[in-house]
Amino acid sequence: MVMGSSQIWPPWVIEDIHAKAELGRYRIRGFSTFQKVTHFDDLTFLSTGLTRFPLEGYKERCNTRTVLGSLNAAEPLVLETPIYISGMSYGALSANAKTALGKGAAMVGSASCTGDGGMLQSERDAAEKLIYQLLPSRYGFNPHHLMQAQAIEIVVGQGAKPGTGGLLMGVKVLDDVAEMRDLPKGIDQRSPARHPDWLGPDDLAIKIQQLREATDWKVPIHVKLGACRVDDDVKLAAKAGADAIVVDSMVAGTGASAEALIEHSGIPTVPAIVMAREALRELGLYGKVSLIASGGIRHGADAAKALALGADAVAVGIGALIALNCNREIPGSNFVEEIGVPAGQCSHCHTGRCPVGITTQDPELTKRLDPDEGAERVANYLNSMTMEIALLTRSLGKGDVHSLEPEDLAALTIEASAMAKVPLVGTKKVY
Amino acid sequence: MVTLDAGRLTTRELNRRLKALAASHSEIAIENPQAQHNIAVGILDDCKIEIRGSVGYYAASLLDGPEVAIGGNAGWALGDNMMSGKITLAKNAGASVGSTMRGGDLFVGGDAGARAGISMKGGNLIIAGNAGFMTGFMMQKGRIIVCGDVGEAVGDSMYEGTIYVGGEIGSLGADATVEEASEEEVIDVLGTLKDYGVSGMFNFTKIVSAKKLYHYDSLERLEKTVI
Amino acid sequence: MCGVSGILYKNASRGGFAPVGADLVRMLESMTHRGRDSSGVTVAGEDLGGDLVIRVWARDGGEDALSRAADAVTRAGGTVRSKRSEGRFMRLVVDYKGEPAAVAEALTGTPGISLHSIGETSEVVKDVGAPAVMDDRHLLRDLTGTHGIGHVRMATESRVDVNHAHPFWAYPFPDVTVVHNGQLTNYHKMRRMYEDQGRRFQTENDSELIAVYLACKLADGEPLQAALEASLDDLDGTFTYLVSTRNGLGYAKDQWSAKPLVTMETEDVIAIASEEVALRSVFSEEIDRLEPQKSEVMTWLL
Repeated sequence: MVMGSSQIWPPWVIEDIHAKAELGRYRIRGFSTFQKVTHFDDLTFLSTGLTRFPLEGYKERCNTRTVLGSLNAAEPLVLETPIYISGMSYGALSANAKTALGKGAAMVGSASCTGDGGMLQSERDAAEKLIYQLLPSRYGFNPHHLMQAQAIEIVVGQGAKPGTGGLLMGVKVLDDVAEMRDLPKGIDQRSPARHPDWLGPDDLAIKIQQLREATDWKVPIHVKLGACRVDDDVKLAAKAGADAIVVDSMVAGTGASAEALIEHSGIPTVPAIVMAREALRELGLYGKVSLIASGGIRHGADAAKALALGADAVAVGIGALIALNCNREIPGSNFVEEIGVPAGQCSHCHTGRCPVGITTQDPELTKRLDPDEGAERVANYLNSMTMEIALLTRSLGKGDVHSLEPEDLAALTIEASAMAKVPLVGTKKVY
Repeated sequence: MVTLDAGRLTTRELNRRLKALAASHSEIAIENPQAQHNIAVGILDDCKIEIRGSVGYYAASLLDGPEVAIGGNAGWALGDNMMSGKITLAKNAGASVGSTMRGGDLFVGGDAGARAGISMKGGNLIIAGNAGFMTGFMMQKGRIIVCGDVGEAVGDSMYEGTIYVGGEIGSLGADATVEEASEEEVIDVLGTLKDYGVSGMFNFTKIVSAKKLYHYDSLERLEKTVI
Repeated sequence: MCGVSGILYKNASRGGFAPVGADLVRMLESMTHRGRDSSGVTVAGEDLGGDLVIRVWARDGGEDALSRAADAVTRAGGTVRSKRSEGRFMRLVVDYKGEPAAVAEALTGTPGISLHSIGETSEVVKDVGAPAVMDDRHLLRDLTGTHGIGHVRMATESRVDVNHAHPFWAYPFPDVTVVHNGQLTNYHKMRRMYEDQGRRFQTENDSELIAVYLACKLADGEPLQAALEASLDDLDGTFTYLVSTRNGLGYAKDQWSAKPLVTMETEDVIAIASEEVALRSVFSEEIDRLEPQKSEVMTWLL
């Protein structure tokens, strides 16, 4: 033991108390949890040896096309890759960032998602496929936009802050954003935690019918859950009539949230997927209701492992923002001067002072993000991830990313084995 | 006038026909609604719809333009997210009437349930009778007129908009406050009521946001330096 | 989460033949969008031709368990007047003048047997699946009486099986049964408190807590109305629940007004349900209905 290196009172805990002693409220920040939790790194693929033959990593055909929500929708969401961009609002993000995400997704045949602030016209125009979120706040919700969407996502919860509503600090509630949300300019916006018109899965069944009637049963209805009581929640979403269910884990990102929620609620992505898969199986709906996982998907290997555990697709948030230069010094930026921490340590999306023009509404800062250049970067990132998934898939002797299965994985830790329900490496035992 | 029998059509078929008829700006009557859910959803063309009886949840919701007259009661979320148009209900409305409506007029001839005008973003919600618990919860814009009493926590967490109450107030919600109504405002409210055939002696109480929940009280040291 | 319904014929005397079973099935069938995992009804004010009607279900052991149940009733001092079984379900009509709690005790101590209800005028019939399926199997439409309650279930935090279906009977009080829509959020804590006091729980369904809660209040001599009122403070989370007793119906609705309920009253009938569409399934004419709001309690006694 070394004096001054307390495990219970490390420097950041001491600093946290000092800050709250001045502040008198919970602390707010963006990004995602700083906790070490079981994650995809604790799983490894069992590639081919002599029992099966591998496919050529860079050449042979490997299907990545992904169809979501075909249970009831006449026009399911068809993506050329099992990765899409998760819902992040115009407001949390700049218009340039939203446009870049929509365009970047379109360049690889994928989709982006509106988030909590209504449909931004420039994203609608840029995105080939756009998922329209229906959130408790219904900011900017418009039936005309509903009918322009390729899928609808009912947000019950967000992994970074399950059981509560969104947050947008006044510094970001500027002219356009305030107007789109019908809010007074400059207020600290705290979105509702519950939907205004339905309060339980029984009423949700009727709400889903309403959305289907409005859209002539054409597009899929997704339900997004913050991963907590995954087993019950997934079953209820399915019983209420969801075509696709998104489980968003505690590792997932946020533009602003109380730190107590970011760090202390929800469960990690790995067990969330497994619990959701088993819940759907119990109802006989696995493979019928699509399963989408999000939270801490960084690269193709994470995505491939998520698919192997049972997801049909994954959604990326922070990864796509990093592709747009989040936490990277660019010409014109000065992180230490502008945000108070060096690039690589920034989690200050809530301040609206993003030095790279992503999570800001400041007209000068937003100029630092060129939407076309950003779109290229996002498309490259999604492409590289898709290639990584295909690479791993081929190494397992499979010609379709949707052939990945839990038996392709082994766990590197006992905890991961217990959560992923796959054997610990070197053993045949699932802990 | 075209008549559709809701008792003989599936909800899907009923809405499909309604949309087709609305596109040609027809006058449509719906018989036999029997409190079924999701009648007249997502109609974006001007037209006139008369529903002869009671409807269930989400009646006349996600509309932009139509004039809808309903002869009976309504379930939850009548007129949900209406953009423009006019809905009149002869009898009582369930909870969340006019939820997130952004424009148009919604008139309730009887009483309204809990959370009337929740997260309302525009338009007029007029209730001839009483309204329930949490009327105008998280209201953002627009105007709610309740001729009778309102329940507890009226105007809780409202951002903007105005609530006029003709009768007793159960209690004010968090961050709601009473403000003096100007003479012009009262004349305007009475004029709106007159449009819907409501007259009488009202002494309206005007409720608005106290705006004390607009901001967090404090900023962190780092936030202070960068914001 | 769920759909609930209730009906009471004000002018039907005990042993009258109001079509309570058929009404409840129609009401529930119109609300299957609210849940179709399981369904159940209580029909009360029946003409039994005996002192007690008992409903049991064999968890395992089938016919053996059912005959053990009948034996247990006999050992407790009852005389079985009639016995009818349908698969693993059994209905017993018994002559018995003692404390019903003794019969309840004997039955819950019988291996493989789940006790669904003991009533002097009422019985609980519940099964997995939608109401129409259940009606075909258990002929609910043939059950007549003065009043009753019903339930369709969309299971939330406990499993789907016959025992976890509603209504829940307030063991060991004859004729007190409950249907609930919502989720109690202090269930585990209250359940442990009751278990420490020696109260028995037969399932993991949070709604069973309401039945146990009311049973305890009634055991303390509280009137039904007072017990319902007290529950508004004691139960946390969301609830609209209906209770059926020997001579009446009641409801309680939580402080959040979270779960729907509409009621209507004519000269002859009181009907209550989660949705008006259920009321309309038994009264096709246009009706005036009321929508109870928050922290409300109501009882109707025959």
